[in-house]
Amino acid sequence: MKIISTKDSLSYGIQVCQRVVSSKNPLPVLSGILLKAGDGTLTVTATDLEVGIECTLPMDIQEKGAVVLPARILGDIVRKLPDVKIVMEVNSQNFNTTIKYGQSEFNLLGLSSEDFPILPSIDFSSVLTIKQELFKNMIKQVIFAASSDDNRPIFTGALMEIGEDTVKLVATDTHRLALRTAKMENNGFELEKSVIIPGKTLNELNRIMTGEGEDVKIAFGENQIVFELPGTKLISRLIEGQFPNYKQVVPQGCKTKIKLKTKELLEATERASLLAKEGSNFVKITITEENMTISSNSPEIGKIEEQLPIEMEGEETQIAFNSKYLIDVLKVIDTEEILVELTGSLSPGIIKPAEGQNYIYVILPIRIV
Amino acid sequence: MKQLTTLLKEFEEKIKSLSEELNSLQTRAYALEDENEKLRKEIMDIYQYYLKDSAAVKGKQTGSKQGIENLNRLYNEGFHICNLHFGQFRSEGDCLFCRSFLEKR
Repeated sequence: MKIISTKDSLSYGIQVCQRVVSSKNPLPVLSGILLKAGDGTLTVTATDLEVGIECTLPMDIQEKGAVVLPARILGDIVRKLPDVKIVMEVNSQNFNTTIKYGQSEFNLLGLSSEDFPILPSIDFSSVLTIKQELFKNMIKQVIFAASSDDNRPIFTGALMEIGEDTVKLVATDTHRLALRTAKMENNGFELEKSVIIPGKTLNELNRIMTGEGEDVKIAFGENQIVFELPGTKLISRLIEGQFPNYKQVVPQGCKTKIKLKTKELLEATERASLLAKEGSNFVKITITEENMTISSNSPEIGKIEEQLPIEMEGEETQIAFNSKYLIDVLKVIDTEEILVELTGSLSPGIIKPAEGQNYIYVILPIRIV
Repeated sequence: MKQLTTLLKEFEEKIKSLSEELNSLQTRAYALEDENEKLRKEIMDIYQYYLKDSAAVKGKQTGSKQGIENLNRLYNEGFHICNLHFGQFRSEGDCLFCRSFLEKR
């Protein structure tokens, strides 16, 4: 195998794939990246058997072939190469690889590509097409609510529910829940389907989507999902199991309804959280006709109290939230104002953008007695 | 000689990490035993309640009321009562699914 490339092109392909390579994998071949030179294209592939990324780059191919190179060191080398013409040549007998740049060269021991797993191919007959920008936004607004506890795998992913003309993304860690709905007319998808996508996959996808007017195509296999972007394909296993009925968790109706500026609440909460005690980490919110008071108190350090102007309907109330859960959601809501709906100090609260019905965040209060 | 010392060092580190793992497993086992004990007690309690209940032959409504009370008590003592993790210890804070179940009643 012999290819001629620019630094940027090679570096891009390797960067896209490198992140899924797991350093802890027992199979040595999986700690590498597969480079495969075909007709005028170089295909870069990496996988940890959960997630796989394949990136196809147009390239000057002198001689076809394939090799597996250690991911970490390859990534480091390519990133540090000078911006000159790069020639990569692989000995087809022992897979020793020479990377030539200018007057210099770098030798790297490679592995045979035969042991590298083949990413499963998936039937693309039924494909869901979404604008990258929209899907990126959906992931951003939901995925932070997923759990990181591997003992409960279902909650480490997000539920994707495809209906007739909507696509929903839901994530929860049982303390809070984020639900994003997108209207999708003529999405080209005829089935109703719901799958649980691992959080890691969505984070990776979010990283490689540029979000500039292009589409992402989504296809489903038996227990797999494929996201196809121009030049890049991401395949992931789905999480098996039944996602809990999230609809029962979303409270219907409320006793207190307030409207306020997103940014003001975010900043006040961030300041108050500085004093929130470690561990419980809560901020107290008191709502009266005139305003909202956010306070937090740490006996050994001090206390803070902030007042924000609000528009309020219904009963006055008092409630305490985990400041992290509050900050997380305020960071991803992109409207200027939000609605907060509460029903007493023990029932879950709802936070949603003031305009539009496409996002709901349910958050459990902390009991303060 | 140098090689031997590095080898020894590596060996020592390995042993250290193994013993750490053992420790964490031990604490986990203790925690699980604890939880098991608690759960056993709970079951006994509930069973006794149930026995009393059936002995008194109360109406259906009071029975279900008692059930909800029991669930409420279980939840307040720190266990999940939702169908997802029924009987498991709630390690951190409230659970949305348990709460929604209790509130529905």
